[in-house]
Amino acid sequence: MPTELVSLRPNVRDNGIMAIDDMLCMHCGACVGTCPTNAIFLNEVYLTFNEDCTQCGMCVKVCPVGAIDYPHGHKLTQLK
Amino acid sequence: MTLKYDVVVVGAGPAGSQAARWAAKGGCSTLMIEKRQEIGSPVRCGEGIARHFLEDCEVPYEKKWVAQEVSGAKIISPAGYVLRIDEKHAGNEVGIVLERDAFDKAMAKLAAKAGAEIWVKTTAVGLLKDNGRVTGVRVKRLEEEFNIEAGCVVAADGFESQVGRWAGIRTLMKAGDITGTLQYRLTNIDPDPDFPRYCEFFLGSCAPAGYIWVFPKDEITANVGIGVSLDRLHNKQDIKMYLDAWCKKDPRMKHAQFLDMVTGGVSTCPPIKETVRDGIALVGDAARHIDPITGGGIGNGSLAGMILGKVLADIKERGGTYSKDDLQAYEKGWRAELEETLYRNWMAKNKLVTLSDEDFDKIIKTLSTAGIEKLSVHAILKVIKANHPDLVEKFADMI
Repeated sequence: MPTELVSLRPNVRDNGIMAIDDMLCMHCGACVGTCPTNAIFLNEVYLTFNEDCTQCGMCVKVCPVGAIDYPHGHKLTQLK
Repeated sequence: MTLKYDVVVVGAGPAGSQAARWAAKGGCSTLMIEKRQEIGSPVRCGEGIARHFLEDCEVPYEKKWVAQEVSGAKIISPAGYVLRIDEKHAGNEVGIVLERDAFDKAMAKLAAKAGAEIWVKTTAVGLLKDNGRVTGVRVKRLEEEFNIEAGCVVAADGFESQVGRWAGIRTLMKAGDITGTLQYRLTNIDPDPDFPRYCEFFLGSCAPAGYIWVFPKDEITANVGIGVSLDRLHNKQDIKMYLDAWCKKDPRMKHAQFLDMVTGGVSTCPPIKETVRDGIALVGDAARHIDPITGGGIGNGSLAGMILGKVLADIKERGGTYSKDDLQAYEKGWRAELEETLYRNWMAKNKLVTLSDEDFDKIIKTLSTAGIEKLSVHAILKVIKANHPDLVEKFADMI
């Protein structure tokens, strides 16, 4: 009999522009300094994308821990 | 309530603290704000610095921010050739491995002792402008949001700098001039005769267009990190894959355990066109003062911060207005100290990133036999020029 998982914390926040894994993100700002359209907002605990984002993917690659992904439905997304 | 200062520094890293320190010392009313709740933490740095920068910037030596004094550096090629640069020649690039959190606090203390005010948990949320001139900054401090007027705003807000972008200064970089970095602080490292006396740099395809560093923190602990150029990264988590693969291969890391994990972005671009406008100056990572080859920025940033602080103090004494013309003294000052090296190293980096593993083996082998007089990028390039002129022909006249 499989063990039952009693609590599941959501960790990926997908606003339709880009998706961020909040439990993986180190809030280091590598993506913010890299973003060519300044579409990423970061404070110490929260990272989000606005409509200036062109989904160029530079942040996806530069993120040292892989916390950023394309949103659900995007052809390059690796989200399951 | 209208707050007014001569100088408002955004960001309390070494560059910001140095600017605040020398501005306050010269008589400017100075405020330094830091968005985090603690200056210096979390650390986002490999923590290596050359000793001479501390003297250049008049930072008194304190044991509490020194993790390890190394007696040299080892540069290791893909096939394992080692270029060892010993103590009396190595001072130029790396000499001390810092406790960066303590170091940043010590630098902030120097600013405070010079008379600067410091606020933490205070984020700059916008710039105030009047007719194109920056006149201050809007901040959120704890629960309050308000304006602070400033004669000059100093943007020392790091790699992800927003303040410079708000002012319209172009700080964007190409993918080839951005390096993504990941570092593990590993402990329980297995014994090695040279450890912890050397800072190590591993070149080649283990870190495409970058390098892997091992900076010892104590007898069994080291910062093990990697930088890879963004244009060599193709997939999510590529950086982590490269570092994990290297750690797996190094026999010393077999029993190593994590103490901490650090990530960040590093600029490896040529010097930017402008760092001042009316009422604003950029310094440190925000001004892309990082050395494009080593990725080191503490020393350059501190030095530029000191130059800026002294210029601000001088403007105050003369009764100047912190206009773009007034601030040219800073623009000229940092360029005189850093620009040539930054540009030359950027040219050299562009060449180095095209080298194959075999090229690196050849070069390191040559260097280890020829010997070099000191560990500086310039000295290394000189020896390469003498032995493999084809590798540096594009910028041979600069060496």
